[in-house]
Amino acid sequence: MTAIPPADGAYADAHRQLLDLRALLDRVIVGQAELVTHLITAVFAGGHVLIEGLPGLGKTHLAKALAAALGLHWARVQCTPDLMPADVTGAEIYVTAAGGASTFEFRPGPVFAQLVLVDEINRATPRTQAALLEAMQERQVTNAGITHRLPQPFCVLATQNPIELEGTYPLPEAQLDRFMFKLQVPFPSRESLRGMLDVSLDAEPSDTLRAIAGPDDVLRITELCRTVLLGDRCKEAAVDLIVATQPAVGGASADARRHIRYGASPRALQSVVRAARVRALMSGRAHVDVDDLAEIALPVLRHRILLRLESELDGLDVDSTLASIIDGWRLRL
Amino acid sequence: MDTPQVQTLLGAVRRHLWLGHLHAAGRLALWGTAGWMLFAGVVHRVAWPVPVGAVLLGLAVLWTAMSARVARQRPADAACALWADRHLGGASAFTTLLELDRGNPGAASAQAVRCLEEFAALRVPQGLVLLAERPDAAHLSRPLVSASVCTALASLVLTLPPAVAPTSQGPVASVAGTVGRSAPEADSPEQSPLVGEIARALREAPSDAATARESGRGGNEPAPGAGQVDEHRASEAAADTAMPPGSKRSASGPTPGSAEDAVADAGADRLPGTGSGRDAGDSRDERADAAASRPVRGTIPVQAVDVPDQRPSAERRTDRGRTATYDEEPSTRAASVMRVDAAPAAATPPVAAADLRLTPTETIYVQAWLKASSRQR
Repeated sequence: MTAIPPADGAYADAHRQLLDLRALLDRVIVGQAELVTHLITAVFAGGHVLIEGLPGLGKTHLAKALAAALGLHWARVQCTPDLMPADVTGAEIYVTAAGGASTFEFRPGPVFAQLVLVDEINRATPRTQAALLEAMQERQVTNAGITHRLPQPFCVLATQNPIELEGTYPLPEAQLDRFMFKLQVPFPSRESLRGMLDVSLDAEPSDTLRAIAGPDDVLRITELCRTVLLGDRCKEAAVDLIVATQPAVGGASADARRHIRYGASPRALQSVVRAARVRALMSGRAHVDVDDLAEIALPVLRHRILLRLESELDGLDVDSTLASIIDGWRLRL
Repeated sequence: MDTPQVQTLLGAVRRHLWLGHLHAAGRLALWGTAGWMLFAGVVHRVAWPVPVGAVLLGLAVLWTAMSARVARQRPADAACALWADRHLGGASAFTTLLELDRGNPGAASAQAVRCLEEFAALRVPQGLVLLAERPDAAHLSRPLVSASVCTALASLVLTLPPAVAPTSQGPVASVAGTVGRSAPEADSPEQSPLVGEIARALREAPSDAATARESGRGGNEPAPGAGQVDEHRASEAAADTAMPPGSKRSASGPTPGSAEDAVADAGADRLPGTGSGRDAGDSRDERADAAASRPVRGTIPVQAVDVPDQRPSAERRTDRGRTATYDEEPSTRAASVMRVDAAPAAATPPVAAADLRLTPTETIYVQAWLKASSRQR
């Protein structure tokens, strides 16, 4: 796609719109400012998000609020073990016309929305997961030999529950790699809980949310983010970050060699840079800083590395290992 | 593309970095100066004389090398921009701007470049303020003081003659405890009253020991062979008075035959030009001749000491009947050993015998040494 030269003040407008969007969502989603920022970053970077959190923390509410604020058409898929791929992507049905002629007509599924909320994705069978993830990657659905393009912008917010894992089908690493971010919804603080009572006790605030942007704005800002400058220093830093997670590559950190079985992929490198560009624009810059890379490193890499079994048995988790790697990488810059 | 404000900031950063290099080189040169001066002083004092010119030449080389190093370390623009990004809140703007200036700006959006330039220009005043507020820590005081002290010490040491005489003058017996004085001073008998006192005490020692033995003969007669042993030890003791305890009699020395000979030898050793016993006044102590005596390294050159004024009376020295005694009482000998053990570490102990027992002469030597030392204190 050819980059369109931005008009004068385009970066300032985009920066202002991003800040407005964040402020709006912060008012609706109380106490989850970092989660909201990461979510906006992923949406404008053109990525998909896997959200992990306990039930009742507002994951669905967050998706609805984001869709409402951006004026996007959104759909929801509640995954169950008997969910079929056609239930997600759509299917051809036999239709009899008024004149008596019969034909097969493609009825698009919920994936044909601009913002798709896939609830509890790990409860769907691998076959359904594969169909969904193919749509996420290719941004198209092929049915009966006919390719159907998905609408633009297209973003999938998938959720999964870290508990109640019986009867679930955990996503394989190859499919996890399709998600740009994996966000974890923390339990809100006491003040946030108190604020929720004031905001969303009797009404769902996302239902009354007024859109401050439209799909065209999302596409424009997404396109503008691709023109954000990336210096050699930041390119080297991004490569160093990915290499630092690879245990078998020279330049790997000591933590990676000790604890990581599989490191981040080249797709992770692309995700890091794309997300850092959006973060730079949110910070009011037209160039990427290494701080932008550091801010999005954890959600980008969290689901892309595998720990050694010995390290897991020692009680280590991915986040602490990655935090140590990122700290070491940051000190070397 | 590179704005003048950014160039101003980069110039200030370059001066700051260069000053840092200068301080680092100065610290290194000062520490090097201190080390070099210490080295020169030690070499001058221990090994061989060091000419002042060589010391100054080394310092000149050191400082020239440091100056060349500073001159060669002129920070480049990229290094200055990177430093400004890291420490002055540049947020990678200066490095990115510099890359665009030197690379291919056509690939970048003109609007983005303009935004970047504006961002960098806005950061320049803040960067200059931050740069001015940075503490200019030279950390030169400690190396400067060290270099000054070491230079002063080395200057003092270099003005003194070297402790070790040149090898062309031949080996000179020196006392380990006389470091800091020249060899002639250490060997001069006039400058060693302690040695004179010890020598006098040792001259008296065999006579006292013989008296003690004679007094002990009445009540406790030793075995027939013991007398010869005692006389032999007496001769050894007499020789020990002329030789330091650390150096026993050499193979070329007089062979002990009888007790009379031994005592005579001892007397001859003690007094130059006079004998002891029957030969008192007839023999000549050849070892008293400094030219003929063999030098003993690392020991007190007692044989070279001439103490005519402190010489004891001839009657006491030439009483051949008062030979050295052999104290057979274990308690007495143990007491002697204990007294030796109780000697302070500053005294030079005599070399112990193989059985770790001191001969009476050695015991007397130690006692005399202790007495003289305490009197000196």
